[in-house]
Amino acid sequence: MIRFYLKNFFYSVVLLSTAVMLQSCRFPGSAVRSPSGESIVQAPTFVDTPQGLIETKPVEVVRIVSSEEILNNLISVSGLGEPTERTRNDFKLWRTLFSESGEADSINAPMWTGIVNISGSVCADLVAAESIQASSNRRFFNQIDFTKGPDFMTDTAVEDVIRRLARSAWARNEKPEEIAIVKQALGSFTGSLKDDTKLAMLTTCTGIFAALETNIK
Amino acid sequence: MLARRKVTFFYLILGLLVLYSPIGLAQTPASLYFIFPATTPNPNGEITIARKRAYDIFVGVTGTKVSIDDNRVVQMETLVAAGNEKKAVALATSDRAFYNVRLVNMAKKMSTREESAQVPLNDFVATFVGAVRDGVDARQLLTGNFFYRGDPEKMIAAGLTKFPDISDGAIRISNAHYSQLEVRYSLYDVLVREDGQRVGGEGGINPDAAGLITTRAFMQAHADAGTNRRLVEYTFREFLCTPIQEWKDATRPDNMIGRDVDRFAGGGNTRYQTTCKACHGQMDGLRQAFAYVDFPNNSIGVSAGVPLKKFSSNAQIFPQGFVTKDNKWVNYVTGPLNKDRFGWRGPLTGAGINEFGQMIANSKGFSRCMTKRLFTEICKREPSVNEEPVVRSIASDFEATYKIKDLAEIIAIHPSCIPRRN
Repeated sequence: MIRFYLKNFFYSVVLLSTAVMLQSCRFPGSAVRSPSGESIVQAPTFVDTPQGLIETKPVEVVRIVSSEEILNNLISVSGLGEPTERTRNDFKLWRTLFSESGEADSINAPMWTGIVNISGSVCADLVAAESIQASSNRRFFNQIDFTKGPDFMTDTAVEDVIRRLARSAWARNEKPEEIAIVKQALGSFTGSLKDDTKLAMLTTCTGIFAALETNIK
Repeated sequence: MLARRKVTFFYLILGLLVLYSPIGLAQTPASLYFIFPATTPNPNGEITIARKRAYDIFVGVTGTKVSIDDNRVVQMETLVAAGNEKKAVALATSDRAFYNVRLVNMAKKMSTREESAQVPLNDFVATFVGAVRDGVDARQLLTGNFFYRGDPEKMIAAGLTKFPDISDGAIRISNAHYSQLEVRYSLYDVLVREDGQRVGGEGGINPDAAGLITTRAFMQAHADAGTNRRLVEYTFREFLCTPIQEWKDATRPDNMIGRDVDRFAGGGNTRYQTTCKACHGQMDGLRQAFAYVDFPNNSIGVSAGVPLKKFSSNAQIFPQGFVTKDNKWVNYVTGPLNKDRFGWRGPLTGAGINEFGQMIANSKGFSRCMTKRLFTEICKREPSVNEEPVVRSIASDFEATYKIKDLAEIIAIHPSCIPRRN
């Protein structure tokens, strides 16, 4: 039974983070588009230098967060304050797989497996911390009833969680397509077991924290 | 009436006792730890253009992602909306993440031969971060006789006497103090300046200190074994941002090239004249500055006015070569291209590491290098070749105060750095 749930969780997270990642990537190849699809103001500016006025243009550069930034970023956006001992140890195991320079072409499969694992570790801490708090004291899972199973999760509650996670991790509101992807992944969580609600929230959180947009700068 | 006065007096005394008691003043470990502030997202909050701009500046400066609803970003948004980006960016540079994340990662890349941010924290990084926090003139980073470490008083007050190891040995002969400090401490809160860089065994103070150049980490990376030429090469690399391939110049004099350099490599003199001399001519003139320093037994060793053996090793290769007798150096990196690139100001000859550090710190090349390094960190890209005038212009502004914090602020809101979003 436990094995079934773990397998279910693993597949859900991988599919979800991949789907959200691909969603983030759906933008034209132009370097002047941010991953969220927003346009960047590219008006040239003249800068007064000792050599006279020179035209300069800010260039939008998208880089993968470097190995030393990954954990800091996840802890910062999750609001956990500092990593737990377990997460620190997880990070030590995976950090050598992460990009040092942050160049886009340094992304590879092992690296992303590591990012999913670290994100999962941070999200597990987040779900554990919030699920024992009164809903009014939570930051992300305010409308989730952790004493009941996933059957009792309403669409509004799930959308609220996605909104809060997106504003923290992506610094923007989610898009309708992204809600659809997460909800689809959550479709496999049914029943009345309260632990499944935690697992569902862990999946949602990990999917969003492990997405490309969370891990670029 | 008297009774009421007595009660008021009693509470006043009680309050003062609590305030000044060991309990009131005790430093709790939490205040020494680096804890990211928590934000409660506002699901219905509007994300204005000013908010996005504030967010981009904050993330650029601190190197740390935060929620779009983060209080610091919201505060900056108000200033950005009012057209006061200068004050907004000052909020970002006063944040602990600027020191504990951005500056740490930047300094780590300069501190070792690997030039990697994955190396453990060391005295070079701590000194860089501490000096920036305290608003120290950046030139002192290459001339000062000080270093930064975890404040032992704060550690003891917080009951943290074992980890990090605050013993003298942990500072002199190992990196233990710093690697343990890194685990969860806020460098911004825990670092303290100590005057007199440590060398050798107990009690030794460096008589010829040159800031970051003579930190244990930099010496371990570049003075361990070898011929001390690496110290020159990496000083140029880290503080003038120029690898030796770019500043080599075969037209410069070769009268100070050591005896260990073969003048007839491959059987003829051509290779020496065109290749070997191009680097050694300039490098060997400057390496004399390091004639008295070594890194034996895991700590910095300084000889008492006698050039180290490493300066006379392999002397049989070309016995007519330059013999190091003292630590007097000459700067031959003064060909037309290099003169413009480095913009030397002040003496081009001197004795010892401190005077060498002064020459580097006073050069225009140092200001430009600091500009390039921070630009690369904050703007997520290296300045392009076409942007050299921009770099020079920012570097010139930096020289008004020589404060790294001011430089970060200038760069973050510079038109060529962070694009504006709609």
